[in-house]
Amino acid sequence: MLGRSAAFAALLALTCWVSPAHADDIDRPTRVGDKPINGSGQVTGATSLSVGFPYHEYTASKDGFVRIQMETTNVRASDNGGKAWRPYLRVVSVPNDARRGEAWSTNGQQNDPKTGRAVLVFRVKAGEKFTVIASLAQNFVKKKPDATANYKLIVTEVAQ
Amino acid sequence: MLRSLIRTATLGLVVSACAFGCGVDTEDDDNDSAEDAVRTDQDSLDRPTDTKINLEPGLWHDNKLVPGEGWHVYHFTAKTDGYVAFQMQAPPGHPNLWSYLRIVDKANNSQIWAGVGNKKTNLCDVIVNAEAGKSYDVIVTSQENSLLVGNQRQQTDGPYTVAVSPVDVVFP
Repeated sequence: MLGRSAAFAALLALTCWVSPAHADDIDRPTRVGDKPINGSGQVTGATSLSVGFPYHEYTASKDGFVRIQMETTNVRASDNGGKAWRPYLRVVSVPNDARRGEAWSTNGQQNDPKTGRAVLVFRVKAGEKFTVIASLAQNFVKKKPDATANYKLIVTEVAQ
Repeated sequence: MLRSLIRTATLGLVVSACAFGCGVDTEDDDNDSAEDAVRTDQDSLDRPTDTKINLEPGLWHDNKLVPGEGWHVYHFTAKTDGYVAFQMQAPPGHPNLWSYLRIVDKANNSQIWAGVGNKKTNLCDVIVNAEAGKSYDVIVTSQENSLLVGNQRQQTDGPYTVAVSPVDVVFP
């Protein structure tokens, strides 16, 4: 009896160890807490088969406009037949007194065979916060993490 | 594939927006589940009603979305390079017309912008770095229409204004 319980516990532990903590989706993205974006700057990351919809918190540092560019490159050169995965970039405003319920998204394009690129531009006020989701069109279509890629988010603010 | 992506993106964007606090009621009490075929008596994302209007910078167009004609497409050809803002505004507090815009760059066949409106202003604002000579489709609808699937009947009935305006911004 004890042996069977121990075997079950071991199997459960193994299952937990080999399974991803969770599989996220576009409605439940995964926060990348250690890489917030404050004003202009860059962050890098990667999508995986357990985290396909990572998001970074962006806080505007000035009144004006912001441009958020997302670039993707393959983890392995041979992935996706050697072509970079098409990015999927979404920005959602964190509600405040003056602003709520806004979102922008783009499926981007394959800029060249090795790089995918997506761009969003919108108005900001200093202190406003946004959720920036860096995913792939492939993940979006499949509604789950389905491809892996490296990504870079380049945030450029212009005062107005 | 692109149409599928667009449709999926539309639904996903709205669902996501709701998840982040927009609070759109996705229930449709008038849904006729007995019908299986796609409705042909109303327009849709794939079959928007062509207004045949070319938007000119600074000129606003007033129009109305009604059940059956809830997707309007306008056209814009940039005369110069530079950022432009596509804007759609509907009456704040309107019960079934929450502004929604899609800007499609047909030449690249892969670039799609989407925006959902600010609930307090019901103003949707999508900024695009336009290229001289390039044509864009400007698709106007409501969040409510963009959520419909299958045979659900359009409910949106209300006025809106659409325009394109140059934006004086230069990024380094």
